[in-house]
Amino acid sequence: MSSTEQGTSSAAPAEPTTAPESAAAPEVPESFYYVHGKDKVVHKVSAGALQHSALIHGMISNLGYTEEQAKANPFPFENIDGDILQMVVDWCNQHKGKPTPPEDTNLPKQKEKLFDLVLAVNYLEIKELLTYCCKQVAMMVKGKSPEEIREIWMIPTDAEDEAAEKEAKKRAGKEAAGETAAAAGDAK
Amino acid sequence: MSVNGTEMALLQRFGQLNIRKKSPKSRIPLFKLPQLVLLECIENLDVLEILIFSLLSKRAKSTVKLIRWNPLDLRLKFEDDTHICLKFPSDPSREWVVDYDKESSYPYFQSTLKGPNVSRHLVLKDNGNAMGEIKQMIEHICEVFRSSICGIDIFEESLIEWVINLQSTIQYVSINDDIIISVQTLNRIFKNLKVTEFFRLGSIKTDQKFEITEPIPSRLVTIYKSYWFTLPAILNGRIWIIKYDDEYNSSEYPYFQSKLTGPKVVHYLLLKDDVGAIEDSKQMTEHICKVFHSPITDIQIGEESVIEWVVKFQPTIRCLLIPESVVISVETLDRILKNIKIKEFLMLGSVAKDKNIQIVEPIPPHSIIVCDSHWITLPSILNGTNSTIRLFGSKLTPMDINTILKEWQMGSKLRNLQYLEIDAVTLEDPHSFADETFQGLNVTRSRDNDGRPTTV
Repeated sequence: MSSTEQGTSSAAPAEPTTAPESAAAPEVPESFYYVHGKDKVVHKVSAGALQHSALIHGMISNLGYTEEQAKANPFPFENIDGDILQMVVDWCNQHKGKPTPPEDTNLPKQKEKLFDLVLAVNYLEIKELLTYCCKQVAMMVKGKSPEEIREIWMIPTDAEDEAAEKEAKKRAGKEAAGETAAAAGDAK
Repeated sequence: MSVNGTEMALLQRFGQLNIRKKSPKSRIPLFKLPQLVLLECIENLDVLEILIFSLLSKRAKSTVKLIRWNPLDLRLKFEDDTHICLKFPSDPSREWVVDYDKESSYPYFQSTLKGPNVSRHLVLKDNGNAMGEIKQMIEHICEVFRSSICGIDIFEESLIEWVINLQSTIQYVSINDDIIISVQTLNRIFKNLKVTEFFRLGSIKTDQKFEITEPIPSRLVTIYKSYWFTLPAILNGRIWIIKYDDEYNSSEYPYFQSKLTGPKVVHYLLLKDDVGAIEDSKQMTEHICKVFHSPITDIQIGEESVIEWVVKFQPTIRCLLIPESVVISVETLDRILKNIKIKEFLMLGSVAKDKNIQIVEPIPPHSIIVCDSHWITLPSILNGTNSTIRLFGSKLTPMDINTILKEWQMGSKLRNLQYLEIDAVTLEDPHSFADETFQGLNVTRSRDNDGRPTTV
């Protein structure tokens, strides 16, 4: 599991501690990259672990960064909370170079964080973790009654959906009217 | 009823306007997830849960419709009650059933096992308009799962017109006695309902004299009180009629007999049951296996001595059933467990209680039912890889059962287990037995096995 420390920005990341190496040392020195979330805490992650993320793997595959360049340019994921990114990084490290088993006991269990975790995993395109997260979301309503499913998954009623749709239309209409007025003002 | 009317009735039924305001600990705004993620979450649900979800709102329904489901085999059956039965043709061992019950006051789930097959039931309240609700539910299922009705038992006249309008081609149709009360209705069925596989027509309640000369295009037809069905109707068609007769009494052996059960036909070759019938049946089985190059798949043992023959003739088998009436000795039990490799399903009846015996090794088949399971111990269960375990007359202690439940919950052992049923014998006070059994477990108390998933 990688340890982290508070960084200030991508321009001056503090020295993070390294993730534990796998038992068998690779012949070629492993390259590392750096990522941070909304909290600016920088995580040092090996390229092997990052292969789980199709998004990051695509970003780094042609960079050819040196260790110093990588450290100086951590990938910013401002849309991901720090604790969520930590979970994702931990998972990637634990599954570096190996496939995920069907029932992965190393995965985060906090249901309160599940929504943010799903969004982050989907954004980072970590397919295996996303599959597991979707199963977790489904498990939340296993054997529940219709009312309970509605509550747990926060499903609006038709009346609520209709009211929300009307509200959205109204807002869109106002915005359009505002833009037209602004454009007319500019023209004058 | 219009489609919108149908939808609204179903939505009302699921309490859209009467939502409890309590906040569960963990909630997730499902519709705020990206669409592909949302669809993947729904795909992980059980058929009945998908059905419930699709009834929650119009948006939920349209979301479920975006997924490309494998078509379901949908049958409306009428036995003691009415059931909507759903199966995937690729997995006939699992069935989902929608039931209507006058007693129940809320939707609840229930699971039942028939041998190795699992039926999961969603029981809905019958508000006195079950027929209308069943029709609406079937229309909803057909739409959401893009499936069609595969078979229908017509037990009420209103179903005839409904099914003709909804779906004019069906594989299996069975019309109960005296449902058809006019020749016009019968003609309407023949002209507008195409039954491709099996058509069972009960007696017709009419005083009118009439004859049918046109053939019925179904592959199999059974007609009761078929005085109106004429020779041209038979000769012009491609049908195969099997008439039910009284028990065939013959002193001449061997003889053939055919019986029709639903759409299935079974042909019998009856041989004389002499004193050596068991030996004869073993020889016949060996002969059939040799001639047709086929192994025995399932065997039901009627006599203890047959087990020795199975061990020698074919020690690997899919299913072995020893009914409760056959009491086997401890030695035979040991011989079965050590010498017969049972792949799928083992049902064991009674074991003689003249010797104390305890089995600590796991019992390998996927599904086991043991009627008199006093000899099965905790390690035997914990170290097993079974998916279904049903133990009756068990001597497992509450502590043992508690350990099993905790290990199952933790997931380090019993990883394949999907269904567990233990009927234990105890002299203890039932309350203290239950308390000890469920100690340290978060138990949901509800009707029957309400809510327990039967699939992983």
